[in-house]
Amino acid sequence: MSSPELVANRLEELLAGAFPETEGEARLQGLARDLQSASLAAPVSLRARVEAIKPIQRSRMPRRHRVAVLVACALLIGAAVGARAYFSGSGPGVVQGEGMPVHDASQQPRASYQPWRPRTQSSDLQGEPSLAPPAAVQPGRAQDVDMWIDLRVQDADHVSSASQDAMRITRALGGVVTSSTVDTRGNQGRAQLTLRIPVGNLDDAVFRLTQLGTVTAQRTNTQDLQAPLDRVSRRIAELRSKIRIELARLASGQLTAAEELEARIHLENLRRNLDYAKRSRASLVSKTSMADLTFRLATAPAGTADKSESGIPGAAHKAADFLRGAGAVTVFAALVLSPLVVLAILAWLGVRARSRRIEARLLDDPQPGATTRPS
Amino acid sequence: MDVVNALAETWPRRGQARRAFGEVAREHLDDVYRYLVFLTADPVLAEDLTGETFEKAFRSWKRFDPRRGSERTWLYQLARSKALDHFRSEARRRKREDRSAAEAPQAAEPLAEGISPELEGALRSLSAGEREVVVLRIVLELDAVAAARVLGISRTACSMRLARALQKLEERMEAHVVA
Repeated sequence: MSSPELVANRLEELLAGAFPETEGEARLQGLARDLQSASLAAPVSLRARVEAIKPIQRSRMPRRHRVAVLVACALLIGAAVGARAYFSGSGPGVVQGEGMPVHDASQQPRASYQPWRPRTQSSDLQGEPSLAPPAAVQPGRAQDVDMWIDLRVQDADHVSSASQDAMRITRALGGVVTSSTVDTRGNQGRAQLTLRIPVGNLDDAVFRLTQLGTVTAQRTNTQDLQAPLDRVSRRIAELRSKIRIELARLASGQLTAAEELEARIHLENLRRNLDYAKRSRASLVSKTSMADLTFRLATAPAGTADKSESGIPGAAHKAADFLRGAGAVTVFAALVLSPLVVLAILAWLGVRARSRRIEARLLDDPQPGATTRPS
Repeated sequence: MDVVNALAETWPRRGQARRAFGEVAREHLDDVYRYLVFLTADPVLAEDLTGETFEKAFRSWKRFDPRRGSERTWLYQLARSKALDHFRSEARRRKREDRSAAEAPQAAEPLAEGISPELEGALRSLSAGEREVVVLRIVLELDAVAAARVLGISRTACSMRLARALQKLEERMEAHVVA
């Protein structure tokens, strides 16, 4: 035990009533007794003043406290909004599917990306409008529909079987498989099918195809062709009318030889234009009657499990995802705020040290608060 | 010596009801006043500061947490804070008015009854910090832990400060006797 501690301990013993061993210790105990004999009561005026303390007004929160509370609330709300935006998947981190085709930006209108939610029997019965795929397709209008669906399956075997099932579903719904590529290596595999499906059966097709695995990305692109179709139809009607007029002129027999020749040439041109317009309309009708669907299947990357699986593993993956997100937010906040926190701590320590120095200097004075009063 | 054990007071029983402020004020008014008289060596100023201390205590009474210290320790801390605020403002005022040198000494009013003039003189010659530790430990009989908490220092530092103060007090008293 160090010397100051020994002195301190002996002093405590003496104050607690220990028998003094030296004359100095006895004097010290005597001094303590003298000090304890000092009687000093609060004056009557002070007692009356303290007794008179009453709740004059409700203790209001100081202004700086209110400001601090408001700032804290604003920060909390901001953090909550940020966290909601982050975890709801509306941010740039949403899976869009690797190698998603790039589309012509001039195509209007374009449907925005909407994650596909597989339709269930119960929700179908309830007629939930948000589940009607594809959301941008408007019944009764001629539209060119392109869709991309990315699915994840368990292993290479499922890639093959799901590809076969997709082709079967397509044919059953009156569609055609325009191309298919299936590639499996070991337990890994991927496949890409290009399907053309009647627009009327697209709803069923999407529903049945998405049952073959876990949807990781889905995208719908629609181009409205109603206006061009109407224009071509009007053009056809106009050409037919003109052809009828020319035929009537020729049948009248009042034309000169030159006029008749000119009329026949004109008639020929009109018929050629009519054929061209009819082909255009047929092409448009063909485009709007069949939807192009790019259907991609892939196994999960090696070393990762299917995150959408149900039960305890699924919950564990969701929890891990949440913790990863929370960890990222925490690390970001720590990186941004740590210099400020360090500065605040240093400032606080500085202020405290200064305050203690001033305090020590004041208390070194025998009469630090001496004021001049009329005597 | 009836020593107040701060540790025992730190952890009140679960569900212990908080006492009315009036009752607490009545119980500790004399002690707080005595503490401030010794700290300031000025009974009139001590009276003012005691009143202000209890007014502040009344406003803060809802925030008092018995788990962090006894009512008595809390009141001494408030009183100390009030006194230091006053000392600071007085120091600033004196500096501003540059009157410290010209200030006339005040009429000495007795610090307490029952103490000899030699002891009173020796007490007045101590610094405010030394008188403070003496009053807390000897006059008000706080234990080392509670006194250290009021002063914002460690228990050992508190005991050492007391030892030095008592030694100095003894020397000054001897000097008075010799004079």
